Amino acid sequence: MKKQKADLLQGTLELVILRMLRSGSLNGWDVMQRIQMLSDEVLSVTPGALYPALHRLEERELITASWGPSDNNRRAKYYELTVAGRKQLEAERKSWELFSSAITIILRDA
Amino acid sequence: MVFLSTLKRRWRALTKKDELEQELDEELRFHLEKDTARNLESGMNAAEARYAALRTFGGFEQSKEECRDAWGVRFIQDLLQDLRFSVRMLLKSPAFAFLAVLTLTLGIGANTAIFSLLDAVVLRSLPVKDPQELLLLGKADIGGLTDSFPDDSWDLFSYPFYEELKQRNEVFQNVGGLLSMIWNVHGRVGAGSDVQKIQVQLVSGSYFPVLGISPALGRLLTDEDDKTVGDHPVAVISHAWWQRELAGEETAVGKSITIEKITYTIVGVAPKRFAGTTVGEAPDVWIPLAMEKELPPAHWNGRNQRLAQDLYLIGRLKSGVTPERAGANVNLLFKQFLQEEIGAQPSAERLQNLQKARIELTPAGRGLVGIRREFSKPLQVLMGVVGVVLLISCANIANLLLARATSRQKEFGVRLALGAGRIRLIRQLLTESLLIAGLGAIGGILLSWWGSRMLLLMASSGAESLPLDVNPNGRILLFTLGCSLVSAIIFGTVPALRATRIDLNTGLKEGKGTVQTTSQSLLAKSFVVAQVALSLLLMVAAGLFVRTLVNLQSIPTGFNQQNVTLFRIDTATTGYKREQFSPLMQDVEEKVKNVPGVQAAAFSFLIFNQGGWNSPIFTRDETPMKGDATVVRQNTVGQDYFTAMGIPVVAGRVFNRQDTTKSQPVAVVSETMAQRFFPNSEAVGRRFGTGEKEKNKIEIVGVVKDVKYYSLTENPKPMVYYPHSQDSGALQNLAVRFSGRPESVVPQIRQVIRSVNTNLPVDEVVTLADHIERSLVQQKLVARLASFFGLLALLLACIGLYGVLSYSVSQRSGEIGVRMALGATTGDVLKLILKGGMTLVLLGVVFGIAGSFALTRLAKALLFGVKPSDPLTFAAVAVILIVVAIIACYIPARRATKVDPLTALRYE
Repeated sequence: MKKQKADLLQGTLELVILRMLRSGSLNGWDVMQRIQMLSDEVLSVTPGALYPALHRLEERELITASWGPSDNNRRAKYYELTVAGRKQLEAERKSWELFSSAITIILRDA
Repeated sequence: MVFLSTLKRRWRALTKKDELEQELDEELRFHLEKDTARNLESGMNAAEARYAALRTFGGFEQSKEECRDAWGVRFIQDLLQDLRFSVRMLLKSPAFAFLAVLTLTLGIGANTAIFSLLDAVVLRSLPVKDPQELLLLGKADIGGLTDSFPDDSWDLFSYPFYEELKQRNEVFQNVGGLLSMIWNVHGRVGAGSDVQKIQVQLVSGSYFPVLGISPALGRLLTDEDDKTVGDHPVAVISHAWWQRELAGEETAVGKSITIEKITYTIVGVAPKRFAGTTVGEAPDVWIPLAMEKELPPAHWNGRNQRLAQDLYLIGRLKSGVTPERAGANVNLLFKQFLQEEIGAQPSAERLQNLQKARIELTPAGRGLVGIRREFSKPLQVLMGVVGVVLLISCANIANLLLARATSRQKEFGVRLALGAGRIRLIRQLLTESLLIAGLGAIGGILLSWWGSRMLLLMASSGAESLPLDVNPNGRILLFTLGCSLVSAIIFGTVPALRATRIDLNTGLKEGKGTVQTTSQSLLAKSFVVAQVALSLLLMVAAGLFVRTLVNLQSIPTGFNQQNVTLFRIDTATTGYKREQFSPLMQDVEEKVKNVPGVQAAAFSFLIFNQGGWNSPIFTRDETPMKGDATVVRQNTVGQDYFTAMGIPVVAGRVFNRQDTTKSQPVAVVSETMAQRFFPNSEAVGRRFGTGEKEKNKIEIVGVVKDVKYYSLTENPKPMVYYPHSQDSGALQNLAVRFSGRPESVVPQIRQVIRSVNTNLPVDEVVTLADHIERSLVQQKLVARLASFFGLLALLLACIGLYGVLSYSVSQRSGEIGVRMALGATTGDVLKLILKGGMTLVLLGVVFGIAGSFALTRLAKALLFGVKPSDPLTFAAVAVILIVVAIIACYIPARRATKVDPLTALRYE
């Protein structure tokens, strides 16, 4: 079966990143793998979009970064949620659910 | 905390840029390597794996750029980069940079200088506690001593009223008083040093407490110092005087100042920024009012007289009290005070006066009016003038930038083609403008530092400059900053927008981009039209002010101004008693008259524009005049006064040696007085008195021509002269008429004065003509500055015109070549270019005249003997401007005729 791929809107990408980081710190490569894995390869995100989004979130103090060791003997930059980031994730998740359920209802009726 | 860490990160982004870049690179590379490693695992060879990883990345460098954007310091980094680039660009064309910065320095400097003065005179609050709480009783429009019964809005108040108000009012926290005049006295500082001029301000004990200021040293005056008359010879000195006379030494407190026979102890130094409460006055010393009787020259003694009104009163509002309520309370007390004065059975006139008597409360936070009355309006007009100069400067720089933009078209084309955003280019160009404006602002502040001091000298009616603080303060610097920002926006925006609107094809091609340049030069042309119009406006204003000055200067004063020199001598310093002064002055007059070349010498109480002395006189007419009509101007003079001042005698005689304290009191009156009081008969021989009961006392012995008293523009009023030989105090003006060179005669006169009494300090020597000119200081200031700026504007406009025409000639050299090849003569080409230029000039003149018609009436109050729309001025200015403009056009036009058709065509 051929899978359809969906592009992520900017705001949505950030929401997804925050969600990925909820369970602990990850580096950029891990974040990307997780998004693809968890969304069953439906959502595609390029590194070219991912990294600017990570830097924007860092600038907004929703995540913080630190350097740590990685499996290929090089250091990698790991991101984790801040308190503000956790709050933001919760708030955005709620409004997304509201939004998506509304859209679902509309589309079903149509 | 969040804020702090943001700040830390930004700071790092700015200062450790390389480190951050490296980290970014490392982060992204890590990702690439992980991808490559995975691709290798899935069986690709090394090259394929790496290529695939890069491909799926989705723009490696672009992604980096977006990350940098996310850092939030992008703006600052760009700005720094722009600034560096701007500096390089300006250094590359130093002539342009120099011209632009110089023009702007002139514009901003002039604005800052005038604004500094405007700030000091009109805008600035007193450096006291909560100045907005201070209210002045009246408007301080008049100063002096009066015993008239108040019959209108009142400015001057007696000490008894001050005391009553202070105790009984319900609206002020405290009330302070100051004498409405400053005394110029002479005194000694410490022991034995020379006498020197000291300006004394008498104040009530509550004056400093009301202002709520603290001393720089020692203490300020309190109510305790002002309790008992003559009991507290203490003084507070000004900070400036402390620095000047006592070298700012801590030991100043406790030192003494001796004025006449009284020695005052210095108890403290006023704070540095405090220079008194009246705008343009800076007393050296403050002394309690309780000492007024001891203080020369007046030795006033009105402390207990209820109608001896000579004080200004300042109150500090209680919190929550409105000025209206304060006004009601103060007026109620004032009426009660006056009611007691007129007693139980007042005359009808008194009752009527009482009805009308009132006090208007005015805000005192910006100080008492002082010289603000005279200079507020001129400074506002001058502010407008220099504002226009700045506009013209901006138009000039805009034109320079436009021309530069054309020559940089290729540079912009390349940058746009390489992907620079238009916004980014505009920002770059605006940064260049801001840099120019910034340099102009720095230059302007330096220029104004010198300029505002110049202005203070020019605005002063004496030899010393006005005591105003024009040092740059926050408000002035903010104004300068605003000026330069607005300038940068005005001259930078349009050229920047225009320069970046480039069609890449034509922009990069070698040619001259004809479409582009026509629209650019249209813009340049409108700038020139605007410049011409604005400079015409300034020149018309200058013309009107110069004509005003000339009109004022040609008013006859009634004096023969030639060969008269005035000596200001503080005769009071001798410490003589009243009856000793006249013999002393006669001695001086006679000895000075014996100096070779001197024709006459005479003391006088007042000589033109020194204030006035008005008092009623009473005649024996059956139908006596009443009220104001009986008030005449008065003066006390030496016997040779009329000869010295060149005032012609119409009838009778002037004073002579026989007029003494033992003989019949005599007076000389002015022509107007003779006509007004004795219309049907000869005035000589008639009598009058200075009191209701002594109508027979003084005999008129002569009539002289009218002279000006207060100002040049006044109408003749009745005036009477008394001889100082028949009772007078110390007079300070000595008028001397002499022929010969002043350099040799004046020192001889000084010598003679010193030989009579060593305690006769000569403060000032000035010719009568100069003394009269000084009454026009404000008009002279305006006329001079307006002329200077008018000429500057004309020069700037001509530079603009010249620049635009030169540019257009160089652009049109091909066209001109063709014309000449087709048979156009030199004259034709000359005409062509001149026509192009003069069309702009004439357009500018039309707009300028229309604008001047609308605007010059704003300055109507400053004009004399000339209408704001004076056709002669308008016409003359238009002609001058057109003639000068023709010259400015002629030079580039001449160059056009030198175009060699062959070269021009080949180049095309």
